[in-house]
Amino acid sequence: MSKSPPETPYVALMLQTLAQARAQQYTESAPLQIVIWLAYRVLDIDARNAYAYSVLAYLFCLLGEKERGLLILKHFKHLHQQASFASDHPVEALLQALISQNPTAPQHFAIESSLELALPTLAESLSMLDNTSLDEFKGNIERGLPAINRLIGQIRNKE
Amino acid sequence: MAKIAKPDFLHPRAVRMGLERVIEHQRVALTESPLLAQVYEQVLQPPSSIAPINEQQLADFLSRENKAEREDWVQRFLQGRS
Repeated sequence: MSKSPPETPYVALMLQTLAQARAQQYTESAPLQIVIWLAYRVLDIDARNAYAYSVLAYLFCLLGEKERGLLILKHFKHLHQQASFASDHPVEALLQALISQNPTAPQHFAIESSLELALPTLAESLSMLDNTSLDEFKGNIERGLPAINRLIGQIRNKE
Repeated sequence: MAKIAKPDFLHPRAVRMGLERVIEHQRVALTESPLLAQVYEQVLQPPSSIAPINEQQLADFLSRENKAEREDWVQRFLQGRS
C-alpha cells in the first residue's frame, strides 16, 4: 500500500481550517492566520504543492488583490513548466476563473524565475523581526487602508 | 510579452507577514464573490468533514510564537483527531 505524501495531513488541516473560517464568513482572523501558517508549512514540505498555492491566491482574491492572486498561480504554472492541468485542478480552476472574469488580466506575463515560498527558518524569522519596525508598518497600513477600501469598493462595483 | 522579475511583494516573508498582519487587525473585509465561491465549492473543500478547531485551541496556536511550537501544536492536534 502506498504511503500518503508527508504534507497530506497538513493540507487536510489547512482546507478544514479554511472551511471553518468560511463558515464564519471570514469575520474571525484566528483561523485565517492558521490557514496562512499551514500553507507555508505545506510549502516547506512540498514547494510545489497546488493546494498551498491555490489557498494563498484565494486569500489574496478575498482581499480584493486579484492581480496578486493571479501572479501566484502563474508562478505555480512556471514551476511545473507550464504543464497542462485538468479543469478541476485547484490552481487551474482558480486561474481560469480569474482570467475569465478579467479579460485584461496580465495573463501574458512571463515569469523569469521560480518563486520560493518556503517558510523562513526560525533564525531568519527572528532576524527579520529584529530589523522590522512594526510601528512604521502599522502606520503604513493605516494610511493605506482608505485606498484599499476604495479599491475593494471599485472591484465590488464591477462584479 | 511583458516580462517581470521576481516581484518583491510575493517574497515569502512579505506575503506571510502582510497577510497575517492585515487579517490579524481585521481592518480589511474579506469578500467572497460568487465566482470565488464557485471555485471554492469546486476545488477547495476539505477532504472530510471533521470537528472545527475550538476557541481555546485557536488561542493556543496563536500564542505560540515560533515555528517549532506551532509545529508541536499541529502534531498534537492531528494526533488528537486520529
